[in-house]
Amino acid sequence: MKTCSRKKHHKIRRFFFTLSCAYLLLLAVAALAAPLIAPYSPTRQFLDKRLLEPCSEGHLLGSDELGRDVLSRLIYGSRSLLAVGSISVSIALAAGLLLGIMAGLRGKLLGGCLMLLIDGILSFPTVLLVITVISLFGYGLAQMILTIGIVFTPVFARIVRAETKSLMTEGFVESSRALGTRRLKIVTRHIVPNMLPDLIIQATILFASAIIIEASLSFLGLGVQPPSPSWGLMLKDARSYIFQAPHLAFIPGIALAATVFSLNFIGDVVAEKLNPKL
Amino acid sequence: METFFRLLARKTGRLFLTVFVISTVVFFILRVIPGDPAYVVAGVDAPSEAVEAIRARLGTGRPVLVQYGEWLSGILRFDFGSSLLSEEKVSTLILSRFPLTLLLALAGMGIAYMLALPLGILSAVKRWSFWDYAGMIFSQIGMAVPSFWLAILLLFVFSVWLRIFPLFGGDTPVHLVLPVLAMGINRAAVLVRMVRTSMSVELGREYIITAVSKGLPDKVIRYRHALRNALLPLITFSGIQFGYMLGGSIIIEQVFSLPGLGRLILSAIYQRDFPVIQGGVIFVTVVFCFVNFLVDVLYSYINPRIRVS
Amino acid sequence: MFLFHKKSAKKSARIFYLETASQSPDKKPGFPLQVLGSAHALPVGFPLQSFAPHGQATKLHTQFCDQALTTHGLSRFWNRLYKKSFSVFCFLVFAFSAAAVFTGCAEEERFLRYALAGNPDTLDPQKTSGTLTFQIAKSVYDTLVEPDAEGVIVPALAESWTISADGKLLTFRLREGVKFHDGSPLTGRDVAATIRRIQDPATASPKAMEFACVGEILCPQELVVQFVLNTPTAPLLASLASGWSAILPAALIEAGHNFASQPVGTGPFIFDEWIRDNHISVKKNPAYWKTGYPHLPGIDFRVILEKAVQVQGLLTGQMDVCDLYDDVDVSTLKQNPETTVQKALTSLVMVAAMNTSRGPLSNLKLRQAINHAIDKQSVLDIAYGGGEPVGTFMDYGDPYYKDFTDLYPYNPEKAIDLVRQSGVKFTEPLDMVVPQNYEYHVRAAQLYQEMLAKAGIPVEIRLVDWSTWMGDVYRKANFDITVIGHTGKLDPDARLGGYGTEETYTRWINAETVRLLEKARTTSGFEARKKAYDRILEIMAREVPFVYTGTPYRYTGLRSAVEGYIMLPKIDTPDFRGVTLRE
Repeated sequence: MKTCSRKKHHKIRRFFFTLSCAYLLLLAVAALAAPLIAPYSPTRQFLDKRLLEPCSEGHLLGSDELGRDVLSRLIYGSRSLLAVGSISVSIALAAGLLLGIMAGLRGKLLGGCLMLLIDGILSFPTVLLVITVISLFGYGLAQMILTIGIVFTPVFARIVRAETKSLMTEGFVESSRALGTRRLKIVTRHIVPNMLPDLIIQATILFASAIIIEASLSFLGLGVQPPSPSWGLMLKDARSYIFQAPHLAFIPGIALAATVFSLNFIGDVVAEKLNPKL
Repeated sequence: METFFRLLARKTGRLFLTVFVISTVVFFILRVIPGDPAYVVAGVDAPSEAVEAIRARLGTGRPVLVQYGEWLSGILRFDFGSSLLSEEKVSTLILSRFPLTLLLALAGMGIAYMLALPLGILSAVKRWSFWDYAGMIFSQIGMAVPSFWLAILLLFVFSVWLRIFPLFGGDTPVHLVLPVLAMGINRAAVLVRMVRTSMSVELGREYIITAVSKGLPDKVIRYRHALRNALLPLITFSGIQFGYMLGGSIIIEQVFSLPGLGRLILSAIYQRDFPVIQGGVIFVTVVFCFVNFLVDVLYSYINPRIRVS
Repeated sequence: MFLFHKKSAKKSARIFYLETASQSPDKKPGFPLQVLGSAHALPVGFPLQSFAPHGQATKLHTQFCDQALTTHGLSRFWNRLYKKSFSVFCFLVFAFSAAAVFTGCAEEERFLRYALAGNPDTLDPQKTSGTLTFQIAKSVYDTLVEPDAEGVIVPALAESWTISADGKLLTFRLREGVKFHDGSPLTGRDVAATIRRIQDPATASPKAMEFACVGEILCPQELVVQFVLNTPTAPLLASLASGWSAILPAALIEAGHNFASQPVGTGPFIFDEWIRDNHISVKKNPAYWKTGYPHLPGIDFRVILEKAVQVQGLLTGQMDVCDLYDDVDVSTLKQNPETTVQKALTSLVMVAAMNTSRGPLSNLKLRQAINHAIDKQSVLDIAYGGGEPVGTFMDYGDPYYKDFTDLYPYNPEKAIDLVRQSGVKFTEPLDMVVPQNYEYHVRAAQLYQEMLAKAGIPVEIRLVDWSTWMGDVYRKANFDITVIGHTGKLDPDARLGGYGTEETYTRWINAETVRLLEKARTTSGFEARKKAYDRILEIMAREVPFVYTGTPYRYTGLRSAVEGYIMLPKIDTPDFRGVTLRE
């Protein structure tokens, strides 16, 4: 009985995996080809057609409080969504690798200081941290990407440091060291490739987190600058009309949830592949 | 006992260092951010002489290092200063706000565990059954929905459509049901996976196989042996959950207009009420580190494996 | 719960061996590796430090053993807790619902519930300029004179006043039998101490300059107080009628009382409780000097940040009064039989201010073009819920208002033409700064941006928080255009003072305005002053350091039970004295 449902389970899992990949692919295409797909410019205001319901003439998903087409904003919004996710995670990954390897290889003093700073940042609620850091830079897309990147850096740094430390004691590294290979080469040849799978999994999760942070920041009014189309901003603007025009909150909300869902799901599957015991 | 004290000493030392680093960084970040509280107090239409007078009263015009030294020496005497705007003691402000946030976090955690434990255990025990799917779908969706959106959704359904719960305020326990739910469901989503993974790992261990081969009843194996061990990692996890709740409550407090610690700090950031932000940051860090320390102690107390070492 | 009901018969335990690899980076007890692998499911804000795979070096072996060595502390504890927790949970749910029912009906004469959009910083009227403070201060404190429902200054704590012929001596006769909330009677000394407090540099009142003209303060009799002025100053009476001139008891001022959190005044309501960021409650002052007032047993000012929640609170009867900003809400509330909507003109002037000291906006032609490019009525309707365009820097309902809306009407073609004439080439978009906490300004900014884009003027919006706006934008003029509203003033000098000099954020310099302002300040008599102000308003209307969008309407949503609610014009403060709650 169990084996039977296990098969079914794999089928369902594969179905969701395909769906998630397809959705993310769709997003990527929408982001790249936004000007070709979107019916209008995302900032164009039809002042006589405000707060239209979905399926209205000319506006498939309705219009917002300034008469802007929701579908167009959704399509263009995927650009800032992907930008926030990918760039901020890349920044964090690069900085985290550098700091983590430094902390892992270097002696007690530098490593200890770095770890103290990293622990300090991590023992502080992320939302508060993001708000503090973003007030330093000012509000805007670029600033937000940078902020999220900085806030995520310690997460990577910690993983990298722990892995570096344990990998350095592994046999193949030690033998390579005994052969007199230079440290930099050991790092690029042995250490980084070996921790890559873990980092990739972490990156997908942080990608999803970045998207939620973007939405939360926009909700608090600290995110992307209007009138740039952003899903978080759409959610924020919609909350004043949540009871009169709920579709304004539901459409970007569902799109956002689906993105996070897809990323988490893909992350899950990858993790399972890498660690079959789960 | 001796190891305990050594642990305590090391943790305390680390806590002081962490607090020092965090508060110093925050102190200087705040001094660099544009916007002086004096401008906020002065408001529109006040002439610049008035702004100067206010700055003199608030003491924000003095050299940054002087302010830093003064603040540091204040902290050593457990004096966190007074709010620049409402002139109340920062310690009073924080202590009056913290109980609500604590209650939210604890109750949210309670809800999360109440939802996640049965669901997670069932998912692990009856893999690929209806419960397993229910658990996985719940956790995936729960994680994908931002907590503020969930909060608004709950308000929409329970306060506007069904009118079961009040829309705002934090005076009676009834007011806290929705915020606690909003926080709890989000956490439960993560917990379900934790429980499920940890339980299925435990079920795959050798001692379970031994137990099965010895002919122990299924229930005894699952709930007495496997579950106990599976729950251990969740203790450490609870500490982290608590930290998350402290931070996440900011947004929930905002949606439900609750007077908690998060909103105190958030509005202080907006108004550049420096002493309140600094005091709040230190407080949150200390609480978070303290809880994690407690969790460590509890863990080593409960887990004989650690005690042996 | 069903998982635990079976008490297991046999005690068994496990012995665990922990092999901690010596190179373990952290000696902290960690997760088994497998569990760590699953920790990737972390949502936002998740402090991740304990997830680093430090547990990886910790290899765990378990052995099953039959003999009981230890009882498992955790699971016993958990067993008990979990069993109980369910009943506790059930009980709580029951208790909550019961409490909900009781709080719903156990009320005799209830307080009026008023929605505040934010938490006031302080309740000390002399140490702030925040509108929220004055909305509450009006009910707790009194002033010597006050504006009535038409904005005319009428007696309050002073039953009469005289101004000497040279305009340098103001004499107030105080009302008899007025008592502060602490029981002490009101005398001239209290008035003198209050004004001295405002002037005191240690108080650092933002409004101190308004009282700079007051020299000596005399108390010839117990209930008479005289202000000797250095120069005749017409706006002083209006300052005395404003919230920041609330009279405080002299004895408490000397004692250094904290009025910020424990206000004591002579007002119609006595301060009761302030739970920050939650609510402020005040209860009826039975000894109020205006006999028969107030009607209400008290007011509960509720801080509710979400506008949608405020409106729903009104619809569901959890709130009695709230301000509305959206035409959608207005129509919803109008349709509901249990709620009414009051519409009145505010005293605000909504503007898009331009920094005339830098960049292309120092060019008058371009500023004119911008004025032509903007459809002010549309902005008022869509962003501010309707209103009257003004054309100059004075609100529509003010007696000093003069109509200049014909100077720069909405005319996109002319705007394009003027941009060409100005010869400005835009190398980079104009920097439009908007305070992020004002949703309607953010909305207006997006409308402006779109309209200006059509006239070929590129604009980029930059949101800042209120503190940054106050410091960087308003004080340091680091902006090209900014969207803001100027609140109502009882005297035109308070609105216009400072313009024409470097002092104001538009950095617009005009010597004639400065001269006329000084003249109007020292002149008395409405006609003479109006002549001067007419000219100032005309200069400002022609030179356009602003886009004068207009004066918006204020919509207040009320439960039908609420009667007699008025907002005092010019100071935009609610007056609760005449309000009743019909049952």
